[in-house]
Amino acid sequence: MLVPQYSTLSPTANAASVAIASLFAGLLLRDSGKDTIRLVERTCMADKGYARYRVEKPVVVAIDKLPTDEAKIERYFALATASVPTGERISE
Amino acid sequence: MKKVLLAILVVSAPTMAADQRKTTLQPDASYVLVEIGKLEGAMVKGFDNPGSLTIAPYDSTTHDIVAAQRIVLFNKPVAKSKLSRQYVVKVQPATWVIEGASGTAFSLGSKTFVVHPGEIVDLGVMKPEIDWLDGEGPKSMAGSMLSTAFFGSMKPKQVRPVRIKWTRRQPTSLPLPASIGERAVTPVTLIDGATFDNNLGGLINRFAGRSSRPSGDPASPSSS
Repeated sequence: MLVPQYSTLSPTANAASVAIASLFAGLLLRDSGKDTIRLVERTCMADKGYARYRVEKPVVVAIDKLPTDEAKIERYFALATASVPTGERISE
Repeated sequence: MKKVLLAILVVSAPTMAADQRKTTLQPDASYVLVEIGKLEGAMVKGFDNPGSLTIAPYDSTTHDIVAAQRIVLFNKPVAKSKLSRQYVVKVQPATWVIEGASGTAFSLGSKTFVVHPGEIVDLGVMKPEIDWLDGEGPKSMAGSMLSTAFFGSMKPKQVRPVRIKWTRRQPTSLPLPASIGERAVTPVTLIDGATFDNNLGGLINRFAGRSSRPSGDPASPSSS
């Protein structure tokens, strides 16, 4: 990555600015890569016939309040396998 | 400044007008001829980029492509217009697949075609298009500038893969390159059903987009 060097700054300040710029560039690139992976995964699953649904927040809150992880998983499983899906279908 | 720009335009005008590159075809070799349309509105509404197409030999036994012989059609067109570019590329006789276009691999379902020895196969006109969902579209210039100012990126909120709108050669298409001469040109026979790994490493789709998923209806539970 090309990072400009400023003649008005000291070598230390230049090095610090390069480090900060690299950090942000790295974060952006990482996010971009993650977005692509997520999109590929969702497109592939949608092509195979799977669908995602967006549920209302109270549904998620109610599941979060369940006492055990097993109960939470069971509730999510029930939602995912219900004959009539809950929520709004998300197009992929 | 205006005079300098004008001088550059005047000097470059003859090369811009001469949009037909001189190529010599080997008499016994096989070639693929294709016109590739521009990709419109990928980043901002009203702006376009030259489309690209990736073809590769297809191994129907392993259901994968032969990456070493992959050809990317993007540079050095033999002819170009405001809407498209035309390419003639030498290929080995084999079964070939449309592997991808403009950054998207058609690994979920693409089309193959056979090139016989000494044959020139005309793929027709392939126009890459963004496979938007219903109600989506490219950002306006103003929206794009605002998002750049506030979020530091012109990238669309939802990046969508590309699909191909395919037609056979039309009367309005670019004329056949003069280098073909008297040689016969065979219109392509595209065969459905090629699937392969996402070797391009970017987005994936089907050749004709999400509307060509098995049920044909992107809104139905079995297809979207």
